[in-house]
Amino acid sequence: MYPLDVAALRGLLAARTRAFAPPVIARTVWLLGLVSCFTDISSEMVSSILPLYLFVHLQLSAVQFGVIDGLYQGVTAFARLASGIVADRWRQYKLIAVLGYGLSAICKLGLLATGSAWGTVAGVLSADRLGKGIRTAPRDALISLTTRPQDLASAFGVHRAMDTIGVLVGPLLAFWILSSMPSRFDAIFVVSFAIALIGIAILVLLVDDRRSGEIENRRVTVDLPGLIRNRPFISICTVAALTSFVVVSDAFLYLLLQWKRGSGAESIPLLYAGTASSYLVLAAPLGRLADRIGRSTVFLIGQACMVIVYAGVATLNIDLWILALALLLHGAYYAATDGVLAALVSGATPAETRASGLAALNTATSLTRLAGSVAAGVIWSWRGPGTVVTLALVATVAAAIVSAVALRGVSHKPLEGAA
Amino acid sequence: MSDSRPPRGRVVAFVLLVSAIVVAVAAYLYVTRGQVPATSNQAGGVNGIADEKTRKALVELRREPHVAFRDMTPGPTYGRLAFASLQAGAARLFTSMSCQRIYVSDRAGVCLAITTAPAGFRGYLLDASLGVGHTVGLPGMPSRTRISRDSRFAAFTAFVAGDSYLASGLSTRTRIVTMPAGEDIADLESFAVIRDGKEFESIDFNFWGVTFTRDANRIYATLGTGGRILLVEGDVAERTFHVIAEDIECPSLSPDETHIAFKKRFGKGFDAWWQPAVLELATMKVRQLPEPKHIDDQIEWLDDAHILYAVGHTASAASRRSDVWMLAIDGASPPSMFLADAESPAVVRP
Repeated sequence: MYPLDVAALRGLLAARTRAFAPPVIARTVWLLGLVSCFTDISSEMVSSILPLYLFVHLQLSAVQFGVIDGLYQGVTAFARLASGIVADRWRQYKLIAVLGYGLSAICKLGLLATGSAWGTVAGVLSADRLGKGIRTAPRDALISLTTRPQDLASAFGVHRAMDTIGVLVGPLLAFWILSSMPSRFDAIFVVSFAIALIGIAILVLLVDDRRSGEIENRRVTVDLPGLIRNRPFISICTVAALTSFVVVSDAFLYLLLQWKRGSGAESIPLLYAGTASSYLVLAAPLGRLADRIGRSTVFLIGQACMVIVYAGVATLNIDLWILALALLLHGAYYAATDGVLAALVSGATPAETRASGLAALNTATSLTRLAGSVAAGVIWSWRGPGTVVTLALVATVAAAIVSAVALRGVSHKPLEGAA
Repeated sequence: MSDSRPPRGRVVAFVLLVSAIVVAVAAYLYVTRGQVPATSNQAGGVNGIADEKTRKALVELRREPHVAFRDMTPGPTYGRLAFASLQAGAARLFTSMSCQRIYVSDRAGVCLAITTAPAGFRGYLLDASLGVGHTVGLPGMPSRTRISRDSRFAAFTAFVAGDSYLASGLSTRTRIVTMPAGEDIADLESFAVIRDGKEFESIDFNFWGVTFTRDANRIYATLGTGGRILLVEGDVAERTFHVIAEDIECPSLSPDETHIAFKKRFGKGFDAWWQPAVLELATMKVRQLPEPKHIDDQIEWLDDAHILYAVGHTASAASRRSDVWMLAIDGASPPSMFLADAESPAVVRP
């Protein structure tokens, strides 16, 4: 007879029960999901009709739109980083997020007032992007700080899914207004502003940000050197940056698909809607899966999805079914990486530098995504789309191998004391 | 962080605030409703004529030379496809079709329009009686459209957002289809381009602004590449373009095929504007015209000696106004207003 190790058995049983128990999604996460949903309806309403407004309604010249847009990305990257550090330093996640959401909301009214001068329009649009840069890191920090460590990926998954509802609804609403009231862009801006205000009202009035005892409500020194010395954190950011460099931008993937199909008739918005629908459906389940089988594993599955997409574009005839499958996998890639990366970073950074860590992740991925798009563009014009597909395929496989090695040391379990 | 239920006072404040926001938006839309059309074109093929009386009048009107255009009069007819005879001050006949860009010939028409489901843009190809013969999807917002003189083909250009390596760059896509069945004839991107006897290509090629010759197989168009604007002359069946001039944008061939009216660009970058000018094809000489106002859309010919073009004159978010002006191409007289509150003119001579 062996003595029964009751304690160990009980522990094992508890662990199993925990693994199958549904994740606890905090009220704050649902509410922040709603805030993002309203905000995205508001911003997608405007961005879906923006070319029409600028180039048909105001008849501005389209010559340098792309160049200026690239510059804004750089400004936004800096704002992201700064807002994360400031939010950590003053422990004011909600306040900083409100400032970001507020700035973007006011810009919707700003568009009403600008008239037709490029200078003012460009100023309003850059302020709008600045707002988006400011709000992201403190918002993600709020999500991670109100969620149990074992449920982080589930929580980010739920949030990203709600966010994506806005991406799908916004353009529909804008085009509905425009087709029932021709040229009434003012109506779009006013409705967009109102919807953004509702989002802010949820954040200000309903989201609880009273601090619990763990983190004291006072100005603290943010341990940035500690963040840089944090090996798992640096590994995750490096892998994330590498991945967003090699996985070409949405617009590029759609161009590749159109090039393969030899048809320009499909509307790009429809392809965006396809990816977004897949992302919407898969974000929460894949987040949950990440919490159960390991976030690094699900992240690697996401990369595998893109490997399959590129292999398909390289070798197959893209009929409608394969096109749909490609968009499904493209959405799955986002679902398996975006929120999961935020969860990985949250698990690897202490609460005191959570917003800074998330901001660094955001900055790294957005800058490398831009660099990747430029590189893909150069290759396309130099060697043609076929080479872009081949290189993207090879690079994504390589990135997946690097990720598998680099993330081996990153524990699925959160840091001690991180909550 | 704690995660407690929000206090009742805050929930009440939230509900009140949202109610106030909804009421305020409704009030705004109600107060500004004056500009909202009474009926709007819904996707899916409206036969564009409202009633039998209008239909008869339109058939009568379309036997004589006339102009089709996008009505821009604030009120219920804003944005609709409309018709008028060429006489000054002629009464307008309205269809119920709401369009962004219009072109009409004696036996066909194109209406590029905004649609809701899916959110996007479509081209309605109209038959001789202005019924929708076919609907084509557009990859982005409508830009230019023209119909060949024999009414067998139509060309249309749409902007494609995100069709470049900076995600938000703008490029164009131009297709030629049969009328009114909408069968694909050509995508201009598939044409070989020949400059100085040699073929050249670049990924940033953008084509727009097709104009047909009497022989519908031969066309002129604009090619934009590397910041330069080239006038190309093409053979649709052979899928080739020859570069014939530079800085001639958005060509429009005169009925007698001796001149090309085009948009001449001034200024750089964000400060650029465009004025009408004329190229004489026999000499390839450009004539600047006495019109300093900015124009956007492709120029139309009233006859062999006069051009028509739209000039926008208010641009607030709430409305856009535009008039159609007439100008003699000899440059001897100043422009005169041809149609107030209109754009996208198409002169039809049956």
